[in-house]
Amino acid sequence: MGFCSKAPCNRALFTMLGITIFMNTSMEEVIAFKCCALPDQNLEIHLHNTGKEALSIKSRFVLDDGPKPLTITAVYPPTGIKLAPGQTAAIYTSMDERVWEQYRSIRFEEQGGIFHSFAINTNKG
Amino acid sequence: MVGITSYGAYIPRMRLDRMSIFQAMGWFAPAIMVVAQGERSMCYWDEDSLTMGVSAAQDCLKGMDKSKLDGAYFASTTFPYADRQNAGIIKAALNLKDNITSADFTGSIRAGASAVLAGINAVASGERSNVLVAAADKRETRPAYFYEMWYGDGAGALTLGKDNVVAEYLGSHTVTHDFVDHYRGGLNRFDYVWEERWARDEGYSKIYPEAINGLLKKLNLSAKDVSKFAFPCIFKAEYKGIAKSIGAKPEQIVDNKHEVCGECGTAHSLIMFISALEDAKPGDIIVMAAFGQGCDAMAFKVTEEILKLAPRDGFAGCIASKKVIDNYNKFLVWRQLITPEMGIRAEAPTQTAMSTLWRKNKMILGLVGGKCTKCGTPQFPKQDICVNPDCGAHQSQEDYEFSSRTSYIKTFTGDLLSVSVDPPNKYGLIQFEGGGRYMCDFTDCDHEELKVGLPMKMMFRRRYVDKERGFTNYFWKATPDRPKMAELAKVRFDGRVAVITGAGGGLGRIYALELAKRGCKVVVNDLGGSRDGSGGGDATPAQKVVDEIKALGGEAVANYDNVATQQGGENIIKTALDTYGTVDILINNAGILRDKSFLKMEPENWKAVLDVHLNGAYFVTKPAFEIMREKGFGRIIMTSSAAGLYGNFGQTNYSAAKMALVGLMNTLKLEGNKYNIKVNTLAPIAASRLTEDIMPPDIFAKMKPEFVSPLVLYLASEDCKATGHIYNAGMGYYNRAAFITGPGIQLGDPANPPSIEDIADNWADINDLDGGKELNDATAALMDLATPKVPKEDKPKAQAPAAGGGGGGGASVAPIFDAMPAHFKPDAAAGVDVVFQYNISGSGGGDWFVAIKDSACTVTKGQHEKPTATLQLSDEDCMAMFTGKLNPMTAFTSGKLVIKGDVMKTQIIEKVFEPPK
Amino acid sequence: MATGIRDKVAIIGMGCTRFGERWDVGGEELLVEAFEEAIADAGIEKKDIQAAWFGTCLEEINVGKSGLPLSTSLRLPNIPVTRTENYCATGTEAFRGAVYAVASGAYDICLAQGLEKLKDTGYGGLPNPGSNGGTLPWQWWPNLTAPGSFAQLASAYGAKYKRSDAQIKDAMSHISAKSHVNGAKNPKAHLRKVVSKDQIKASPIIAHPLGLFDCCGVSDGSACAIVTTPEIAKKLGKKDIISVKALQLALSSGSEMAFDDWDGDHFVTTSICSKRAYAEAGITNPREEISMMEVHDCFSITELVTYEDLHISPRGKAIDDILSGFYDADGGLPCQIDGGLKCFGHPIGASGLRMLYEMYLQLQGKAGERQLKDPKLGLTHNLGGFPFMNVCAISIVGKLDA
Repeated sequence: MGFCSKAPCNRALFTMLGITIFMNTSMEEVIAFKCCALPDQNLEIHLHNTGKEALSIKSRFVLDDGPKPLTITAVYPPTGIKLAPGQTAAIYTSMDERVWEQYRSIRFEEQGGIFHSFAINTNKG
Repeated sequence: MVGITSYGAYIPRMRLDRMSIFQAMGWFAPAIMVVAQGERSMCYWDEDSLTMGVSAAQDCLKGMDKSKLDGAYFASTTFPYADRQNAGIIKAALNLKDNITSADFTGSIRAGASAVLAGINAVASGERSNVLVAAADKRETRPAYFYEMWYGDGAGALTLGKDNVVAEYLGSHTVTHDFVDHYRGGLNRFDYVWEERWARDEGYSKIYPEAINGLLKKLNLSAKDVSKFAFPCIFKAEYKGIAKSIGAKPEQIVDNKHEVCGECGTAHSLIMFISALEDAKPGDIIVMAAFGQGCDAMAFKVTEEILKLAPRDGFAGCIASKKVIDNYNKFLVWRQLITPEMGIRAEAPTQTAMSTLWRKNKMILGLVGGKCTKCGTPQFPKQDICVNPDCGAHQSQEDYEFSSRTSYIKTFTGDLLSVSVDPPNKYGLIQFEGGGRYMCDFTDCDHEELKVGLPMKMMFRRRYVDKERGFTNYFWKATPDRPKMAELAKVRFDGRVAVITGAGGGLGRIYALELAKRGCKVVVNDLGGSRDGSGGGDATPAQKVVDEIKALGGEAVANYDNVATQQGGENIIKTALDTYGTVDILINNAGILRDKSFLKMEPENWKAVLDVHLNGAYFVTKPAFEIMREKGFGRIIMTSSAAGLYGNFGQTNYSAAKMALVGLMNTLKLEGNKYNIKVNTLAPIAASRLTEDIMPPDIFAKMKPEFVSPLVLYLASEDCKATGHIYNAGMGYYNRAAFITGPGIQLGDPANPPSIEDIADNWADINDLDGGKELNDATAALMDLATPKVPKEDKPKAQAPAAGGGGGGGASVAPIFDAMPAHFKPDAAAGVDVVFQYNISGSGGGDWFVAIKDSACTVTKGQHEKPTATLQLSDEDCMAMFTGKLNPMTAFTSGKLVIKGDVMKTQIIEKVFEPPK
Repeated sequence: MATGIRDKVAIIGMGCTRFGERWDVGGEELLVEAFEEAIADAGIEKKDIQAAWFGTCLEEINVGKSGLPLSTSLRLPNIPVTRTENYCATGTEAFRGAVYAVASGAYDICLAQGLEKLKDTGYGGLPNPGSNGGTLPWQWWPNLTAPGSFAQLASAYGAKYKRSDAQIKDAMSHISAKSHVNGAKNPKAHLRKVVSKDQIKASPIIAHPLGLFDCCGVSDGSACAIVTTPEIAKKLGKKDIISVKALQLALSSGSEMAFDDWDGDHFVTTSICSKRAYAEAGITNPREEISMMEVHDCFSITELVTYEDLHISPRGKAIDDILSGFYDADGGLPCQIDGGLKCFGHPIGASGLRMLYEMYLQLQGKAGERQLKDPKLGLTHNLGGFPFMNVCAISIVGKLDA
């Protein structure tokens, strides 16, 4: 469930997002080949709309709970992801695995400012 | 009489919000703020002067016989071709006859007006009979200066002739001065402008009055004889001075349209004139003048013929159809003011074979296909061999125009791969009304609007620009026909059949007329009797209504049977079956009055009213219901009355009958539900034979049945999902009436029934409707009565109706709270120190507080004295939310979940607990 | 009275290069690579080849016109070489020329070779022909691409058979996933990584509703076949001779895009062509009798409707067959066992022959990891053009003595 992060918004708004991570994805080769100007997209993240409202997620994310918060904006597709209820769409980016492993939390943001945080690398110490 | 015989306009749909220009470039040129009001029209990426000119001409030619045109003039200062006749391309696009005079007019922004005068002169001299004059401009401007804000893109068109003149030409006066307020040399892209103050002082403010006063003097008119003066001037403040110089009042000056489109160059005098013409009355005199190295001024007098013109978009229609954007960069890219990288894929050969273009001139520029004279198949393109596989005739086709036909999308796509300046590239297969189809580019639309079946219209647009060789080619693309979409979006009853009893007058007649207007086939039943049911057997009322419907182009048939007998009811439905094959809608409207106070109510008067209203509804509905059940669709409307719902002195028979219909509806709605048969009841307040001398005449006048019918037609429509409802309607007021059943109380126990005193003592509670609800059927009502009652203080507010019957009170939520610690994620709760209080109402509810501290979670029953936040829910809603059935956002926004205290902290809940399954 | 092609021609040798971004070689070298394999497989000498048919589609961006690129690259000794082209059905068209030449009795041994070198353009994807696509089409055809044109099949199919976007997406994702699983087992394929159905479904949209994995990319490659009469094949000592059972073509008359009949949801040509092919091969129940197929899966939606146009899935029911795994490698009728156009690759002129190559290997038991159990008849479906105007080529091959 996501909450409104804007200061003047003094009520909680609930939307439902889920994610699945694919590091060093087998899609990298195909994306590089079929979308010729996009090599090295080795991190694939699926965004699932598990709720009943349509979602509009920005093409960026922040890695938290690590050395210092890291904002990634070079995400493909860059125009944001619109998800109808029940729909899943993927985003891709180029991410050094060693950097990725240093973080324990990832945060996505909706167009309206609501954010969603998830735990990552839970199997690492 | 020589003059204007028709007019048309075209303003591109895209409008650029001027503030977006200021926002982008105000840092560089703050002064442009002073003109940054409203929107300026902007060509879509595939539009130019030529395409706009064609569109304006098409608008002008609506309802006209274009084969009569023997002259075509086109004026612009931004022609795509300096040498290839642009008017000739318009002739080809409109598929005008070959034997036509054509000429381009250019060189100044008064060229449009000059072309009009040339056309007038050609007609007046007898050399020509019908001349089309189109003017259009898409002027280039450098970013960050006033002209970008002042200018718009647009086109206007007029036809001139001697027959059916709508505005008579009175005369003109021209002055020619080489006054160069601005210029554009032959090889330059942008205008060069001299000082605006000088242009105003020495130019506009002197030359306009010179020409206009000259005109008025020549025609022996004074300014007060003229209704409107239409003349373009980008300096809005100058109008005051010019008005004074010509002796006109401010109200006589036509607005220069800055806020809604901007000045469209040589088209603008026509556009402003046309905007005045649209609102003019016969007898009005309108002066049109155009400044540009001198001034052409001319006057027209509007005639009665203007009232007979076929509908067209004109200026008002074009202005109303708009899409405002604030993406200034789009403007810059589309006008090649910035040139983004298009990539290697965009490098494609672009040579145009002139010989092919000539052979296929009608096909490419005119969208002319063929219609086979052997099999009648319209086809595009026209080829030597007919496309019909069963025909295959050789050279059998005659020319067939597609450009003004409506089409519908058959398949489409939004293609992100094609090179496009407005991605995604949209195209698809369109099917023309009457036959014919082709794979077509779409333009001027958003991907989200497109769907199979959408009505489209054809627009003449740029296909490509061969920059290397300076060649622009054109073709026809499809765009959504938005007025038609609005038409089609209306609630329609095409293909449906309705039976209306008592439709010879009053409410029933209006229902019949309105349904027929929207495509419904109607059986108009009326016995023809008077208000008390006597007389009758008069065929006239029903037949009159049928005739009225047929005169409107609708379909209807009369029936004279009496609803109050089984045979009568069956015959009425049989008429529908025999004539139209089915029944979709039944409105039980027939009724009579026999008002008497109860003691004076004789059995025959009691029976007569019940027979018509109640039994009549039974006799007609039964055979209709059978058909509806078979087909899986039905809409039945009973007519009740306030008398039935609430009671009315002297109408016990009527009230009983009208309420009985509600009873009939209550059960019929259940029996019909799974067949998509909706049954609803209307309690109308309207003037009809029934109420004629009951109401005072002045109130009678306000109670038109037309105020009731919209609601009834909505109940009869496919879209309406309501069933089992009662509506009051009349005089513009609409509400729903419903039975609310109070929560009630329980007294005594299985072994001991309550005493009369118990009843008396608890009378107030038994009667209490507070917290009452609607119940769907008898079973639900019984269950509701027999379930344990909630103590008075904790009762939730009245709920929205429970759809499928619903008992009260929910299951206990305690297990949820017991299980909470097991779903707690300690790792996610580092540094968290909060207490959340849950107050769950309802019989299954209770109070718990959840404390999270030191990465541990404890759940305790009861009330914490200082919780971080409090969450309030009913037991049902709590259960639903924790099992994932109720979306928390919906719960919150609908008021089911109330949060007090530090709302922001409640976001931790998401982090520290596993999500619901 | 014509008697069809059934069992009149045998394939005695085939070759196929690795498909992919072959930066290391040009068209000239790819031709030699495939040819050397075929000639070794056939066990004959180059001088035994009496005539050749050369298929390449976009000659202007690869080796240029005429049959000369083939005759000069392979150093064919002044024999007849005919260049053929029929959009993406070019490969099968070249095969057709060689097969009919042998069947007519004019020649004993013929070569059919397809080639496309697409990666010397400087960008990915097919070129926009612009005004070189014909002086008239250039002036009025819409600005379409292959993905956009084929994507329209999906909306039309969904509307006609009342299938939701989600159902069609699900079926298309299954199709692509299956092809990727198969391609992973093929050392010559361009794309060899397994990708899950979920990843495919979530991938970005190219032309609504087709996503990245519903479209094939461009590849370089060549494939060829050497054909002769069954008698000569036996004389050469061939066992388990593979023969041509049917070879049919059907082209649009222009009615799909200009006559009011077609609903936009299937291929008129494939529906007709397949029936003729089955009649020629003596097949009455294709669903039962055909053991394996390679269809033209340039787009997943094409594969979906083709199952119905080949009269294997009933109309409107392809999705059910797909989702039940009927066309998977372990299903009732494996399709795209070599990875198909999507994973093996689509060098346009070579594709029709590459499809035959897999059928040929499977029938001889030489398909390695991909080997199906005892296949009898293989069908190839090779389509060029667009749903609304196209060339459909179908071949059926099997054991001579089956």
